[in-house]
Amino acid sequence: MDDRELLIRYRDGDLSDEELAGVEERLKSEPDLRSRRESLEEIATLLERGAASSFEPFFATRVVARLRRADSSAPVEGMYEALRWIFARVAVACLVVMLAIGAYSALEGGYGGSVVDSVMGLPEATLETALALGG
Amino acid sequence: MRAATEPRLAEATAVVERPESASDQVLIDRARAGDEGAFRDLVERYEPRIAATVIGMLGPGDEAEDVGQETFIRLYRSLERFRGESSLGTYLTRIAINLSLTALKKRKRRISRFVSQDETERDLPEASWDPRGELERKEDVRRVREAVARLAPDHRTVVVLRMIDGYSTREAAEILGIPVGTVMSRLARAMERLEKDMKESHDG
Repeated sequence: MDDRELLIRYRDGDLSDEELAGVEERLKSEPDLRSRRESLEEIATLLERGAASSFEPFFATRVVARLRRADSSAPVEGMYEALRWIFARVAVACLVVMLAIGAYSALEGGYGGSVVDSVMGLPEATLETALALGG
Repeated sequence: MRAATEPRLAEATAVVERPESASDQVLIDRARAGDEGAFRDLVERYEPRIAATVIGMLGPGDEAEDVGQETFIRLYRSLERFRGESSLGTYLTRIAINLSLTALKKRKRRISRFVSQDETERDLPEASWDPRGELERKEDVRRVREAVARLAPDHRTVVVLRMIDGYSTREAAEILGIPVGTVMSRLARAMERLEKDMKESHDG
């Protein structure tokens, strides 16, 4: 424990009888320790004097008003959450349907030449099919 | 999102007997039941303590006001979970310290984004130190506050809890969740720094 810690504990009344007697003895004989103790006391006093004891007037009113605002916006937040829940499930359902259609198209075959064309259900892109589509 | 168990403020609060001496627990129970007046009483009861903590950490201004409000909002949101393992004052102080430290981090990021460190240091107000001059006392209070604002956040925290809020070393350790010895050594270093700061500015 250094001298400053010792002085803080001395100020707190947090020393054993033996430690207390030792510090008081040193304070009598050591001007430097005395000076440190005075500085510590001075700063402690300034800190206590400078302590704020309140916020701006009507603080409690502002806290309650902020809570009310938060309360009134809660249903809107709830709606956003509900929409997010619905959209997430709709997106998954759409993906499953798309995969099912793709799998069906690929298994049925007879559309395009490539796997991608088959999955997408696209006809083979040849001059004949183009003319056939044009009537 | 609001917790399902969170109480709602009653717009038209029923008339409830609320003696000045109602204990924290009584007020907490009433606030849980939606009694806005009981919650307001708690805010008024603990405003001085939280103001000392938050303004000690951040200095006066909008930032401290916002953190002060948020401290009580957090209390309200956690009323259902508050079991009273620590006193309400200690519980609130812990919230206030954590929010203040977060605000200090944000402030540091903001400053480093727009201002170089050299400029920050140059812009810090000068201080002087006159332990004997009573007339300078008010000015000294302002300067010691500025010196506190120059401390590292972990040192500032122990100074605020121990020297401004008046918590014991053990209580400060409990609030911060650190060993008693760490609180004491940080406090000793912080007080040394404050003393040097005040003396240097006085001599310079």
